[in-house]
Amino acid sequence: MMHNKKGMGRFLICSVILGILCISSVQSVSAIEFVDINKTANIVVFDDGREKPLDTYARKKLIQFSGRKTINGMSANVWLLKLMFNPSEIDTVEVFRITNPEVLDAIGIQGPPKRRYRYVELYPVIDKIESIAVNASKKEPTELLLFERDVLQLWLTMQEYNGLGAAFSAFDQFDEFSVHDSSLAEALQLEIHKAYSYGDIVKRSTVLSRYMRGINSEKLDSLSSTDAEVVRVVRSMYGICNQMENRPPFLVYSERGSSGNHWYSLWSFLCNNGADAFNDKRCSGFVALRNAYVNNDRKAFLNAAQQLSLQKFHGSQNPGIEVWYNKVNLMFFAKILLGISVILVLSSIFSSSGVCRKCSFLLVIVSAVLQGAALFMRILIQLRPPLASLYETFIFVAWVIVIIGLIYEILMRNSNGTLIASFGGFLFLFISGRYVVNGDTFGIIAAVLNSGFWLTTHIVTISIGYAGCLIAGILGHMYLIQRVRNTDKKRLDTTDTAVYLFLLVGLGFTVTGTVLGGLWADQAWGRFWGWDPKENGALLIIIWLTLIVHSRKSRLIGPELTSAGAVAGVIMVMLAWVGVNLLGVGLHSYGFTYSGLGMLIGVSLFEVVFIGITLSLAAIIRRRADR
Amino acid sequence: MWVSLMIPQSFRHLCDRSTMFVKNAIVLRKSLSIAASPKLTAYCLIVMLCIVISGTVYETSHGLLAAREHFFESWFSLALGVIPFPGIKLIAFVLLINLLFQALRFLKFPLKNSGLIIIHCGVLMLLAGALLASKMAHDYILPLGIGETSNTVMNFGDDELVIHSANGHDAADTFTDTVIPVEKLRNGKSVIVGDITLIIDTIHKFKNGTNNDNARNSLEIVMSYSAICQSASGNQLIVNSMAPAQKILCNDRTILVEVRPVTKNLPVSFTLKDFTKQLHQGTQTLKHVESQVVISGDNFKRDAVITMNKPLRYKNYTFYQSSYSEHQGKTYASFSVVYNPYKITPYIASLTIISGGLLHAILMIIAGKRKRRIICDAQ
Repeated sequence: MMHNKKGMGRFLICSVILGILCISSVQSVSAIEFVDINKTANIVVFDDGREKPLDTYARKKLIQFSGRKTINGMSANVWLLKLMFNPSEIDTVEVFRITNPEVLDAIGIQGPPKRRYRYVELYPVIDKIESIAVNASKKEPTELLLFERDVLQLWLTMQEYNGLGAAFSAFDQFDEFSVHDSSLAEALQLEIHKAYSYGDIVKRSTVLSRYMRGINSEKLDSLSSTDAEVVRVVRSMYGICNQMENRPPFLVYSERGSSGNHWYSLWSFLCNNGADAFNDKRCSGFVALRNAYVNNDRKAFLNAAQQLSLQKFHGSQNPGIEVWYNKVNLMFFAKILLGISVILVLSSIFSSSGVCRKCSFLLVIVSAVLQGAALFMRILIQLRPPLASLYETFIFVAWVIVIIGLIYEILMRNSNGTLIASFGGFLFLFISGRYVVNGDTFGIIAAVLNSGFWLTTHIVTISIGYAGCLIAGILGHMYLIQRVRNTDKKRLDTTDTAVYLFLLVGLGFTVTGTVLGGLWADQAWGRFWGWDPKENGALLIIIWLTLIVHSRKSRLIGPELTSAGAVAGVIMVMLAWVGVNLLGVGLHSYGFTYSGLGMLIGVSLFEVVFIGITLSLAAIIRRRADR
Repeated sequence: MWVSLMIPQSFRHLCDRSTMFVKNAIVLRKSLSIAASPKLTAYCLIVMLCIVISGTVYETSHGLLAAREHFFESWFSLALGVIPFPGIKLIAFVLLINLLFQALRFLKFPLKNSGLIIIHCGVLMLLAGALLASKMAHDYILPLGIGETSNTVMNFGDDELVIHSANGHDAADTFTDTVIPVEKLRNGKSVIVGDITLIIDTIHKFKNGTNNDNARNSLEIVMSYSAICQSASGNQLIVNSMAPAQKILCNDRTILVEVRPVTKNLPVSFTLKDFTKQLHQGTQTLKHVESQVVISGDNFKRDAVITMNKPLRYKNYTFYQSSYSEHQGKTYASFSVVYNPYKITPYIASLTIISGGLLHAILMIIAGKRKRRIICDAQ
C-alpha cells in the first residue's frame, strides 16, 4: 500500500512536470509573448536624422508620450510593436501624460485628475483639443499661455500616436477598397463586395494600370461601370497615399529614389513603388512580421524578426550594442554606486571608519569602470568621440572627475579623492539627465562638428579643464568647511595645496582647449577669435582662474580667498558650460538649450551664500584666535 | 630766509634742479612700480571680466557686430549708456605693458622659471597679435550664384558712402566718382561731384531690432545740395543703407548716391561651378556642404573644393563656406573671405603658451621629486 502511495506520488509529480512542459512547449509554438516581441529590438529604423535600433526609437516615443521607459509591465519595444500592429490593444493603456490641470479643464475631461490618460479617454474630446491647438499654433511661441502650449503638445503627441498606429494600416481592410463590379473583381482575383486592404489592391496595381491606360480622361462622365469602378478604386488609393505618405516611422531603406533621402515609411514605399514594393526584402520582411503578429504565429514572427535584424546599415553598424546599452543602463548604475559612495565616504570622514572608506573607494572604482565602459560603447555605437552634445560633455566630465579623484586618492590616501570622485561624479551624472533630448541620448552631428581630430582634441581638453576647475571648486568647499571647523593646519595646508594645484590644472587645460578651439574656429569659420558667446564663456573661466592664480602668486590673496575663488570658479564654469547656451545666439547653435536656467541660478546663489557664510565664520574664528 | 641769502645763486639753482630730478625720479619710479604692479594685473582682469560678461549679454539683444563695436573692439565703452568704461582694446594694451614691466621687474631667469617665461611670452604675442589683427585683418562676404563669377567682396560690418554719376539721364551706365568710408563722414562735410556740392546735414545710426548676430545696423544720411538740381525731395537727399540708391538729375547729369557695405575687389576672381548641400533626413541639421569653385588670377586658373572645416587659402586670403540661400529657384553660396596678414600669430602664440605650460609642468614635477628626495634623505 505504502509502495503504491509512493508510486502514485511519483506519478503525480511526473505528470505535473510533464504537463507544465507540454503547456509551455505548446505555448512556445503558437503564442507570441513579450520576450518574442523583444527580439525585434535590433531592427534598424530611421528617426531624427539617424539610423537607430527599434528599441531606442520605442523608448524615445514612450518617454515622449508618457515620461516612462516601460508601461503596464510592457517594455517600450512591446508597446510600440503592439501600437503599430494592433493599435486597439494599446488604446486602453494610460499613455498620455497630462500634468497641467488647466489642460483637463480646457479640453473638458471630468473626474479626478490622473497623471496619464488612455487614448480612448481623449478621443471623445479630440475636436476640442484640435481647436485649441490650431488657435495656439497661429500664435508666436512667446505669446502662448502655459495651458495652450501644453494642449498643443498634447495634440502633436496624439498626431504622432495616430501616425504610429497607422504605420501598418496599409494592411487593414477598408470599405473603400471593396470592389463592386464583378468583371473587375474577377480580373483582380478578388471577391466582390468584400473589404480589402490597400496592400491587397496595390499588389494588383499592374491590372489596374492596364485598365487605366484604356480610360479616356476626357470622358469620365460616360465610363462603363467597370471603368468607373477602376477610377473610384484608383482615386481611393491616391487619396489615402496623399494622407499617409511621409509619416514616421521610417522603416524601409531604398536607394531607388532620386533624392538624397533613402528611408521611407511603409506607406510611402508602397505608394511610390506599387506592386514592386513586395519584391523588396525590407518591405516584405515588415509585412511578414506584421502578418505573423496578427495571426499569432510565433515561428513566422521570430523568423521575420531575425531576417530584419540581420539587415545592417551604414549609420548603425552595431544596433545590438545600442540595445544592450539601453537595457543595461550602465550610467544609471554608476550614478547609484557613486551616490552610495558619497554616503559611505562622508560617514568614514565623520566616524573615521576604515571599512566605509575602503567600501566607498571600491564603489568609485566600479563606477569608473562602468562609466568608462558606457563611454566606450557610445564610441562604438556612434563611431565618433562621445562629445557632441551637452549630455555627452556632462557624462564625460563626470567620468574625468571620477578618474582624477581616484588618482588623487591613490596618491594622498586621505578620503578627499574619494569624496571628490563620488560627489562630483554623482552630481554631474545627475545633472546630465536634464539634457537628454526626447529620451534619446544619441544624436546626429552637425556638419561643423564633423571633424574627428578637432572634436576629440578641443572638447576633450576643455572638458578636462572644466573638470579641473570643478575639482578645485569641490576642494575649495572642503577647505572653507575645514577652516570653519578649525581643522589642524597640516590638513588645511594639504587641501590648500590641492586647491591651487587643481586651479593650475583647470587653467592649463582650459587655455589649451580654448586655443585648440580657436584653431578649429580658424579652420571652420575663418577666424581664431570672434567673440561668440561660447568663446566668451571659455574666456571668462580663463580670466577668472588667471586672476586667482596671479593674485595668489603675488600674495594679494591667501588660502581662504583662493578657495573662495575656486568655489566661485564653479559659477564661472557653469556660466560657460550651460549659461551661454541659454542665450540662444552665436555660432555654437548645436549646443543651444532651454533647460538649466533654474539650476544655474540655484548653483550661483548657493555658492555665493556658501562663500559669504564660510568667509564670515572664518573671520570670526581668526579674530577670536587673535584675542 | 637768511640762510637763502647766504647761499650763492648758482648753488640754489643746482639744488632746485636736483630736487626736481629726485621728484621726477620718484614719480617715474612710482609710475614704473604701478605699471609693473601685480595689483594692476588683477584690476585689469576684473575689468576684463566685467566687459566680457556685459558684452556677451549685450550681444544677445544687439547682435555680434554691435557688441564688437561697443565692447570687444573698442578702447572705451559707455556702461549703462553714460559712464565711461574701458574697452577690451585698452585693457589688452594695459595688460601688455603691465606684463612687460612685470617681466622686467619680477621675473628672475633661473631654469625653473623658463616655462613661466615662455607662457608669458606666448600671452604677450597673443595680445600683440590680437591688437595688430584688429587693425589689419578684414572680414568680407562673397555671395555667388551657381555659374556666377565675381571678385567683389563686401564687409557688412562697415558702410561707405558711394556716389556714381552718368552723363545724360540714363542711370544704367554710371561710373563711380567718390567712395568715402562712413566713419570719415562728419556733419557739414562737403562732397563735390562735377559742378554740384553735396553737404552732409545729419547722420543717423539705427540699431537693428533683431537678435540676428550679423544683421546690419541701419544708417541714414541726410544731405543737401545746390538748388539748381532736382530730386524727389527738393534740394535734400535722404540716403539709407537699407534702401536703393537715390537719384539726382543735375545739368544733364545723373548722380546716384548710396550707402552700401564696404566693397573691395580681390586680386583673384571666383567662379562657383557647383554647390551641393545635404541635410540629415527628417531634420534641418546640415550634414555636408560643398562648393566647387574655380579661382583665377592673372596667370593662373585652378579648380578647388571648399567644404566645412576645409577652407581655400590664397596668399593672405582665406575663403570659407559660410552659408547658402535659395532665391527664385537659384542657389547662392556665401563665402566668408578673411584677409589677415597676421594669421600665423595666434598659432605661434598658442604653441608657445602650450609648450611653456608643458615645460613648466615637467620642471615642477622634477623639482617636486627632488624636494621629496631631500626630505626623505633628511628623515
